[in-house]
Amino acid sequence: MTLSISSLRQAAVELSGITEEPIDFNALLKPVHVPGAGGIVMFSGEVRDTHAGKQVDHLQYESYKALAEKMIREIVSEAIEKWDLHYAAALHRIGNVGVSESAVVVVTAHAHRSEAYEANRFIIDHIKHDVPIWKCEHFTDGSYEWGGECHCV
Amino acid sequence: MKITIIPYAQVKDYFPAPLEYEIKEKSAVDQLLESLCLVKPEAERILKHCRFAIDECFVSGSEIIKENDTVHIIPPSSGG
Repeated sequence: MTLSISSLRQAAVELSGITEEPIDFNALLKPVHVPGAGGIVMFSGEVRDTHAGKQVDHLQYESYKALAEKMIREIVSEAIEKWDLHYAAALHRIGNVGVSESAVVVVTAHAHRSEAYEANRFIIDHIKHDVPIWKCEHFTDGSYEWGGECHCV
Repeated sequence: MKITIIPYAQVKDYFPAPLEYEIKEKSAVDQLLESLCLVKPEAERILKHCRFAIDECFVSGSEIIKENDTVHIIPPSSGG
C-alpha cells in the first residue's frame, strides 16, 4: 500500500518523540523511500568517548517527557511545512546511552538534497536548544557532570 | 497554599523531585522563584536561568500559580 504524502507526514510526526529503547534506524528510514523523495538526510547524534579531556563511560539523558514529545512533534511539523518535506521524523533517546550509541536521530526527505539538509539542521538545532531534555555525563573515573547550555541556535 | 514542584537535571542537586511546597495564594512564578532562591541561595545561579512550565506549557514570570498546580523547573536544555 502506498501512503499519500499527507498520511506519510502524519505517520512521521507520530513516530517522532522520546524513546527509552535503542533507536531503530531502519524503522525511521523505512517509510522514507517514496518516489518523489530524491534527497534523504539522516543525522545521528552519538555519544563521544571523551569530554574536556576526560574519558566518558556513558551519558544519562532525562526529559520532561510530555512537553518534550509535544515540542519535538511541533518542530518536525514546522519543518515539514516550511520546506514542504515528503517526510521528517526525530527521535531522542533517554536513560543511559553508551559510547557510540545514538542519542538522537533526525531523518528528512525532500525532492532535493539542499532542502533535506537545511530542514534536518533546523530540527536538530531546535531539539538541542529548546526541548526539555538534559544530559549528564558519567566519566570512567566515577565523576559526573550535567551538560551545559546549548548555544547552537 | 500547596503546590508541587518538579525540578529537573542539575536543579535536582538542590531540591528533591517531586517537592511539595507552600506559597502564598495568588503568587506569581517570579515570587516562587524568589522564595526558592531564599530557601537555597546556592541554587540561585541555576534557578535564574530556568524556564517554568505548568500543564505542558511554558509560563512567564507573571503567571499566577493556582492551588495544587504542578510547576516544572526547567534548566537550559542540553539534549542531543
